[in-house]
Amino acid sequence: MNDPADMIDAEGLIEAMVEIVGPEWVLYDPEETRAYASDALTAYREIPRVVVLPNGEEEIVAIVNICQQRQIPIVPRGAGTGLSGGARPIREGVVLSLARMNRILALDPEAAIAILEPGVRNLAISEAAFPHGLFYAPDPSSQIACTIGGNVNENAGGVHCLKYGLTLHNVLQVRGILSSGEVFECGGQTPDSPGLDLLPLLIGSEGMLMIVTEVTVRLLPRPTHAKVVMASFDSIETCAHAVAAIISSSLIPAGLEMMDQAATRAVEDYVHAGYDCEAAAILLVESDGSKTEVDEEIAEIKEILLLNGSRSLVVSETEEERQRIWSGRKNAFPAAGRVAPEYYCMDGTVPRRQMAPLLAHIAQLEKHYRLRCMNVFHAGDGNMHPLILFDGKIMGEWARAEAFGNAILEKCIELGGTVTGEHGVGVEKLDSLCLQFTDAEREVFHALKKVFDPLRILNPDKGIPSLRRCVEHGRKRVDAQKRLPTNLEHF
Amino acid sequence: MKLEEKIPRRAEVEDLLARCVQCGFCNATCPTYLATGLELEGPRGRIGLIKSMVEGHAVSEKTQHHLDRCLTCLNCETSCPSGVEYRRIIDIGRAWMKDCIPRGIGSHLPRVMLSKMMAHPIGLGLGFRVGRWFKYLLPSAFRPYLHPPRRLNLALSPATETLRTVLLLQGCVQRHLAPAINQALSDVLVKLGYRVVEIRHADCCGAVGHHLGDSETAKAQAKKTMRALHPYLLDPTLQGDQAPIIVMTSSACGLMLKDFEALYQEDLEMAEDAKRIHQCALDPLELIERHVSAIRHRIDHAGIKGLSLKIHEPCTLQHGLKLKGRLAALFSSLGFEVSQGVAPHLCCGAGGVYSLMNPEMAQSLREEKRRHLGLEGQGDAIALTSNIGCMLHLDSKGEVVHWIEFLQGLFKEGR
Ligand SMILES: Cc1cc2nc3c(=O)[nH]c(=O)nc-3n(C[C@H](O)[C@H](O)[C@H](O)COP(=O)(O)OP(=O)(O)OC[C@H]3O[C@@H](n4cnc5c(N)ncnc54)[C@H](O)[C@@H]3O)c2cc1C
Ligand code: SF4
Ligand code: SF4
Repeated sequence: MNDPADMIDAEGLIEAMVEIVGPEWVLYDPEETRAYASDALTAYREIPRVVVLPNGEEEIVAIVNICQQRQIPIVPRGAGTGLSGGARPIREGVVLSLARMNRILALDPEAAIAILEPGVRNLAISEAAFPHGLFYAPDPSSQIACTIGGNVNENAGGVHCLKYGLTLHNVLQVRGILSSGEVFECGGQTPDSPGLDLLPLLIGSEGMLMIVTEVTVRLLPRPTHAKVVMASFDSIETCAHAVAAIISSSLIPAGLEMMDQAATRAVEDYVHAGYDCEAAAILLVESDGSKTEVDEEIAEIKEILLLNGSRSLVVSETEEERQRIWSGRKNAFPAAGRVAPEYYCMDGTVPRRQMAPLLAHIAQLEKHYRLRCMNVFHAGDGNMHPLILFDGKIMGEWARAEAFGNAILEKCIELGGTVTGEHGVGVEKLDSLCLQFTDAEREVFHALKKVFDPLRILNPDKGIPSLRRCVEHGRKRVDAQKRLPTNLEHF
Repeated sequence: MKLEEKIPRRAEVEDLLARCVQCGFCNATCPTYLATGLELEGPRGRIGLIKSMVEGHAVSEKTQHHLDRCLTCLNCETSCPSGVEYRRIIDIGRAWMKDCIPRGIGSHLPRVMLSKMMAHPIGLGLGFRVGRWFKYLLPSAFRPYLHPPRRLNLALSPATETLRTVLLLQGCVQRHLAPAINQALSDVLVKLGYRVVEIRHADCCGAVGHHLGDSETAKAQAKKTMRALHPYLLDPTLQGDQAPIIVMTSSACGLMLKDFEALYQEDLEMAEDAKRIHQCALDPLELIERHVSAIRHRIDHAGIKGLSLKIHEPCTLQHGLKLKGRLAALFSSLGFEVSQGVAPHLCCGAGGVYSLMNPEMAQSLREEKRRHLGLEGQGDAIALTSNIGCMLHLDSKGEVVHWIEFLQGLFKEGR
């Protein structure tokens, strides 16, 4: 039998990769590469030509050099938990998995920093910091599995980001390989480093600017106490109103999450978090700190919630109870898998006062598209995650789900929000970005991309939509009178 | 090679697969993914491979290899927020594999031998004895299984009051390698007032064959076990609240008993018994837990002062039977200070007969587990476990023991 390697390796690409990382760490047979066809957004799939798993910066440099010489696109991949197709392969390209590079290189409890390889799992950082009384604050729901490299590239957030900030606020330094094969470092361990501050540019760059090989994060003292209040509301409007009341008080809760009834019912079935499934919406509000701080803050939170229409309240009494209450929220996405064969998770943001109107609109869209939608969101910053439930096996359902999702995002923009809160653009939101940004804005994005990656080999078709794409989709925001620039390259 | 058009249990597996939303959470606790970083060596990838088979894509030895490397530790079931029943998926996948990819003799022979050997207890006993003489000629992975049997001879104390009837299935490997374990359970149960009936002619429950994807042998063995239990299930004195309790001291076998129901759901003749067995089967832990206060007064803690007590909960116990944390809880409620070490959720690498088939992976997981349990350090440590496979795999000088044997040794003279 012919070795499939011979058939598809006309250019000797596989051979070159094998030389760098060894045969065990190069996959090319579709039987195996199919496992890398998508990230957690499974609707977008593509089988890559090669998957390679390097171990160490030198190997990455060698891989990038080969790809650069041959103009072969590279798609970096962490744990593949992304929800916007950022790690979805390109057919002619290489998937570069960072999963083997999962060592914690240093953890300095005194400086409260950790230096990590990109494949270290988010939760593993806090586990390693635990004995020192420290933790890594950003806690996406996927924290058990997602990697710090993926977090940096998506600027991941989580339930505790209201108080402790997003990935951006907790990363001090990033090191990586540019498409030229050069090592590039930015940020520093001191609060302010000289030169232009490029760190915020790299954080959230979705693998389009460089391959991250090392991340230095800030660790924080682990709060000794934490409690969560679960409040029930009879209507979404009162719930949204209570959120506004909390935010406008002097409090900064450690977490502020809202779930609608469809969501509480879906998770309660198996997590048994003790949610009030009769309520139209529930709110989870967390306080952490010292014991007195927590007790005072919880009393204040309770008062505000009761004043603002909460019909009943539960406060966690033990750590187990607190964990149980949160486990429902943290498992909300996959729980959708229990009520429907597939779900499409949206990630839009609206100003907080627009949450209730948006939810009312979504309820109408449910009827229009004949699909159910459950809603969970980081209420503190207006970041919504509507989960549209569908069955891909039924003809036309995926198309309806996609249209439903786009309609939600359009509404977000109309209400003064954005099309992505924390899951990134990837391939999923490309069309929506045409609405969000003007030509001039997108031109700046493309120019920046070109500085970092002139050959356009790093995750080239993601993140920023080309002008052509926007025109084809009839979704351009610029008005028709303006002349379309014709010299913009197609990314 | 392609799976035929009409694949068995297709609808069932499609339903099982539909639950998986590919979030990848499960990879984070999968020992083989953690060791390699390969998507194909994690549950999400393995589920994908099986899905490919359903979709009609060609499969080869590569798929077979990745499915073989799964420890069936079921850590992925515990981590999965969508409730994916990985165990059923992998069982079906492995059975298909057997039908569509012929194995080379090197991989086929030991599998068939292991699977069939379990069906012949006399041969098995002989095999162990002969194996012990020639142990240095055999692959090193087999050696832990060839130690002389541990024996402890105990006089049974008479029962005080008779509680329910316990049917104690003797199992296969364990009967030859560590007969004292069954004896210890029997002894403790009698002390607590149970009527213990030892079922000797049942042999292997089928777990080994089941693991290896040899569902025919597994079914034949399971049938033999069910036949041995059948008279008791019919016994008019053992009905209603007097229904027998069926136990096996190895949690892997206990899990298999629970599986009988699924295995025989479509077999009109066996389904009824299989269901009863499913209902009556308990892990010894669930039984002993009921008597914590009685046991507390009758055991002697003095003898083990200064000993550090580690608990290793086998995957079959925590992820399979879903009794996570209960073994540790039992001993701490009996007044011991126990530790489960770092990462107690991870597999020790024994995985039934896995350690014989994949010695390298098994060995590296073993070393990691011993380190995590603190068995490599200074001082006396004893690790308690609930499964013969894990016990032999982890042990180096008799410091890893079955918890029931340990507990029995603590009973005060005459109590
Ligand atoms: C159930 C579920 C819940 C989730 N909850 C949250 C949440 O609460 N908050 C949140 O923010 N996100 C959430 N996510 C999304 C996802 O987990 C995050 O985006 C995460 O940061 C992705 O990490 P990853 O390691 O899986 O990266 P991947 O998905 O593998 O990659 C993500 C992107 O980063 C790039 N990339 C990865 N590693 C590197 C590297 N080393 N160098 C360069 N580029 C790289 C990839 O090319 C891709 O564009 C959730 C996902 C799921 C499935
Ligand atoms: S098995 Fe469960 S945890 Fe794993 S990918 Fe599927 S849904 Fe997620
Ligand atoms: S059973 Fe264990 S080894 Fe197999 S996929 Fe699940 S976690 Fe991994």
